[in-house]
Amino acid sequence: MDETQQGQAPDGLFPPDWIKAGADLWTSLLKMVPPPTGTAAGPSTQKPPRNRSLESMETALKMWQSLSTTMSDPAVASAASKSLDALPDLFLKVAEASWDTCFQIQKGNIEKAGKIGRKVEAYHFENLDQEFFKTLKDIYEKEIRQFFYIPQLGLTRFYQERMNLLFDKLALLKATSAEFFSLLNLPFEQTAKVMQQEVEKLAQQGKVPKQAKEYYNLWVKILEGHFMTLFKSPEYNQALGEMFNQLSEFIIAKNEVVQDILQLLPVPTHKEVDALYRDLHQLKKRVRELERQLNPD
Amino acid sequence: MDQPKIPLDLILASLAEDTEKAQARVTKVSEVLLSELSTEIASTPYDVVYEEDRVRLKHYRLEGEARLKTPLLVVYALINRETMLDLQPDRSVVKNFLRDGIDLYMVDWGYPSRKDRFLTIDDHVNGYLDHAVDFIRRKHNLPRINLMGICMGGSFCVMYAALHAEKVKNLITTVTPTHFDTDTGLLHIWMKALDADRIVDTFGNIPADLMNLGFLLLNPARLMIDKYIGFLENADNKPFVENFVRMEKWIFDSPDVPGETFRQFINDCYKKNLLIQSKMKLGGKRVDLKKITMPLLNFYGMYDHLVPPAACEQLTRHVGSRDTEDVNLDTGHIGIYVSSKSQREFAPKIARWLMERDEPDGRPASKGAAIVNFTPGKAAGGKGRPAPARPPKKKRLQGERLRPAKRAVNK
Repeated sequence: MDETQQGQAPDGLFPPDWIKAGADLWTSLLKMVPPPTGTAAGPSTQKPPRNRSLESMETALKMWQSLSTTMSDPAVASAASKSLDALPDLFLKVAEASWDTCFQIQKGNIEKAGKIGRKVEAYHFENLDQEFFKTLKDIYEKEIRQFFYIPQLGLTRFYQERMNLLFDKLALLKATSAEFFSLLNLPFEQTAKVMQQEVEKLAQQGKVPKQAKEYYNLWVKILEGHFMTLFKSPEYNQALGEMFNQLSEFIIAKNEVVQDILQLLPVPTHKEVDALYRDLHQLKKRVRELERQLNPD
Repeated sequence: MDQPKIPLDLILASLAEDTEKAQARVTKVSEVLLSELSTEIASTPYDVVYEEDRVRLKHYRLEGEARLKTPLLVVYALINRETMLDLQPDRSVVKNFLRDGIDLYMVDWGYPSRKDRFLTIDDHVNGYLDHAVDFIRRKHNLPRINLMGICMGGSFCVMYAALHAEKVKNLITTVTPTHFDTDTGLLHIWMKALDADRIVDTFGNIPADLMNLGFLLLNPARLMIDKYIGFLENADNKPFVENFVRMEKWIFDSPDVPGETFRQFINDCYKKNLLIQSKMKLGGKRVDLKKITMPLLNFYGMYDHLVPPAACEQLTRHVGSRDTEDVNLDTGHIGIYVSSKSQREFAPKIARWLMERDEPDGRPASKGAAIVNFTPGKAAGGKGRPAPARPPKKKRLQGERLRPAKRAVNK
């Protein structure tokens, strides 16, 4: 293996000829930058003021030149190449998570479809544990959530952290509320199935209602019963509690971001006003107590 | 086996007939909805005689002479507004009380703002309520007045009567929760699972809309669907529409609930059930129900899904008074106050009961005297605590056959 081959990046991502050509380009461009001109009065001992835009361009060209030269170093080129290699892995991971989600949704739909035509028991819910939503939430928590918690750097790190937290809480609130509202939808689904059976039963007995209102009354009565069954279930109470918790978490995160924005404006924040109200409340109590002591009648 | 036949032809024929009728109805409905509707609530005249922060004390104007010597102070809950007692001219508990010659005062808790988030139950009971009672006592030169509480306001009155028994002549509680450890009402089940601390820390005051949504979810089939189907069915009936709109106005005219009050009510009452056990503390003082020695009339609704009978009926067994009466009405939480039959029976029953216990105390009220002399530890049977006027009795009436409101309301 000759010198040239040894200097090449392992996967040939940055051919040395390209790197050399790049470095040469920046060097020649730098040479084209016009030199600073003197004043009309002739040469003077003071350096004339330089054009700032030209200076900036010169700096940028120099930076590119250095970068090109650096990249011609085989070790650096190899490191850069490896970091680029990692990108497909990252994309693959995200794609995997998305596929998993799609599969879970499809699986849920197939399971649902499989239940069509089965006998339905009134005022009883199957599979109330909402595995489907739990899986979605799990996927989010395991595969996506950690991106919002990548350590933030620099002057705006705290602001960025709070913003990321808000996005995370919003996603969790969406997942939780989807589960909660799907639970609220269950009585409607179940009522439609039970209603069909009830009508069949009435038909067999020759007691089929003739008025649409009678069907409605029957439907609303069954629906009410299903809601009552659902509302007393521990699964519903858990989902309700979880939704309130996530809503609270989201509002707290949202308030933190709003506080950041409000600090830029000439208005007091909720925190400041609440502190004032607390002081006022305590002061009023103390004044009342003192009044009582001073003026018992 | 033959497939059962569903008379689709009959149903469709019926639907077609209904459609024809509907056209005529739509014309009538538009006439009603576009006409001038009388939907004002709380129209009985009153004067605001005392104000403190957001709280106002209303004094209703009597048309004639008061038949009772002792005025009655009505305390409503912090949830929704006291206007429910004066919803419409022909269904007004307020008007009925005035007609029966009761000198009537009512606490209007107002609309709490963020400023009020740190107010506790102690601030409401030993602060605002106590000051309103003192104001009425001074104005009428009486040592004690009659007190009536509604729902959460009833719980406040129970606490007040236990802590300031020397200022209460007769106590009336209506749909008042005092025993919270029951699973017969959905609200009781949900409240136990609720993280009140987190909600209060998040919201400050509890938003009224959030609570209203919770109340609607207690029975969505009836309160979010059937109720409005009923409205559509009767939308060509002007009086029905007017009453329906009045009720809607009242239901959704909800103040926020001060955060710390909510926190204490959920944690101490719903979760720990301290009130009925006489373990609750307000401002460092224990609320001892045995100190409630004045006559007590306790109303509750047999079909109340918010405050079920199980949450109300234990009170009379835990108080110190021997003159108590339970009245279990054949109605729901709001039906007690707004149903047409209860208009004829509920307020007159209270008026009769108060009339029987309206003899003078024989002790002139010096300004604030009771405040100074009252020592909680010595209150029972002590100075300023006359014996019950009536012979001691414990009475329970089951189902006075008051009919519930025809259409479900969301409370």
